[in-house]
Amino acid sequence: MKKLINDPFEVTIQEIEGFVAAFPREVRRVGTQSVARSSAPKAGKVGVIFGGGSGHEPLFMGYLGPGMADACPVGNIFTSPAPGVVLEATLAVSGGAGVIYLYGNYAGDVMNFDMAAEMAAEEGIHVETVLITDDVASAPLEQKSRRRGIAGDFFVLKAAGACAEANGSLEQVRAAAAKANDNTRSMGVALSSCIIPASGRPIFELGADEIEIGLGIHGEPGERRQKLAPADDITDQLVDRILEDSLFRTGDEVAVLVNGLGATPLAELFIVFRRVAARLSQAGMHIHRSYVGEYSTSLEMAGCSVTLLRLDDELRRWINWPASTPYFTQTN
Amino acid sequence: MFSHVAARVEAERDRLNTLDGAIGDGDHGVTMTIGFRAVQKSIASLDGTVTIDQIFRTSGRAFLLSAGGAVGPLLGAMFTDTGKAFTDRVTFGAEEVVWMLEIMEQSLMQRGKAQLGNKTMLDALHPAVTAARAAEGEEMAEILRIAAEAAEAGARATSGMISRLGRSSRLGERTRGHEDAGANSIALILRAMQEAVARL
Repeated sequence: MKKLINDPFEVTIQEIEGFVAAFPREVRRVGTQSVARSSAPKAGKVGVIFGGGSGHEPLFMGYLGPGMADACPVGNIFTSPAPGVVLEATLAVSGGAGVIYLYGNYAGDVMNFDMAAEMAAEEGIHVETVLITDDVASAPLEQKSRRRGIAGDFFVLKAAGACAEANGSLEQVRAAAAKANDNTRSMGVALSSCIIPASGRPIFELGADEIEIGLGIHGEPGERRQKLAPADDITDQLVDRILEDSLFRTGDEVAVLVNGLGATPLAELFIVFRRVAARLSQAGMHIHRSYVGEYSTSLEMAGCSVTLLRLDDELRRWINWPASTPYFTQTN
Repeated sequence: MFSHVAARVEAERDRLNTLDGAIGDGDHGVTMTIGFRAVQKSIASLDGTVTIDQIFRTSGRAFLLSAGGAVGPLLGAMFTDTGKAFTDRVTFGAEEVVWMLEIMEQSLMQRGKAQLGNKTMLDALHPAVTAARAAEGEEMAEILRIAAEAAEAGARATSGMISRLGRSSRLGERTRGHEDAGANSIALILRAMQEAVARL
């Protein structure tokens, strides 16, 4: 395994130290394993907690700042943070208006964040939670609430963060996040596995001409393994599954995210986007905004995911809202 | 005893990772190692007269606060709940071993919401509880040995199950033919406990 690390068991702590040292105006270290935006807490503003395991950078801490997240509890690689870490993040950014927890739907995260929410309640902090469930490959539509959260995390954060910045109440922020989640669908494909530093071996083996469709962002095996095909064919499979999921209609306006998993060049992401745009045009759908790049990676996995967010007036407003974070800036 | 458990977990880290890699994300061994390193550290820093309940509580808390993931809260609660039940207990013998296993099972079922056959830690722990109860009258070391064997058999049997809970549950049929990493951890912990006691 060739990685630019020191002790494999110190990866998360050291990456936090490096990140905070690189962006001292924007963020600050909190407690043992959390990072907060410099301008939090803001009295009267809902605190936005956005977190989970490390290994997905820039998700989560790259998005700390106005219009996005207030604090990120950072777990070990691909592992949910422990309750104390979630609590330290919560306490650091509670402005007296309540706190919202946003994270991908995974059993470990749910248990640890729920425990922290109970502890926060004991401190008089009201916590609401929205689990992110955008991955269509992980459960059928009838069991939508069991789906896992992948790159759609970005859109849900954008909506909640904007609403909170606009001085929304805790209930309004929760509703905005829930609406964004309900209207987001994603699907991914892996061309290679990744290696967790402390384990030292690839999580799974893909043959030289194999791809894994419908994978999880922790390198969990996906739905099916198949032969490598041209980008348009693979992209069609992802778009087909998303469009079949009973949400999108002709005439819909969407935001699109083509997300690289860590080892796929931007050139390839643009080629994927080209096909996504063509398919959406054929389907009579209009792209309001596009995002192409690495937003939610899996260490050095090759591959990508496609995410569509169906917009209404409210969601369009939140998507348009300015944001200023180390890894995402939008001015209008 | 916990020291030996921690050492065995660390030694088996690769095997647990590999099991987890087949149907999960390959880091179960890492998470268990992180948790048990913290357990070792926290027990080592206990001073003065240490009671049985203190050891379990301290271990449970250390594991919960360090491991993360799903196993952090689950195993953490199993140890902590055992500690709470053992308040004022001064000996740890045959009776306590059976009791410990029962408490751990109850704790796991309550928090993890698993049922038998879901391909989880419970599928190793439940056979251990059943076997330990049936071994009433035996010496502590023997009960632990019987429990560990039952847990190991339970862990092997998970390979025939389809996962219903946790990260691997999204993979359906693809999980058949692979043992559950968590079940193997339970078996490992019990075997390590048995080995530690056998040395006393």
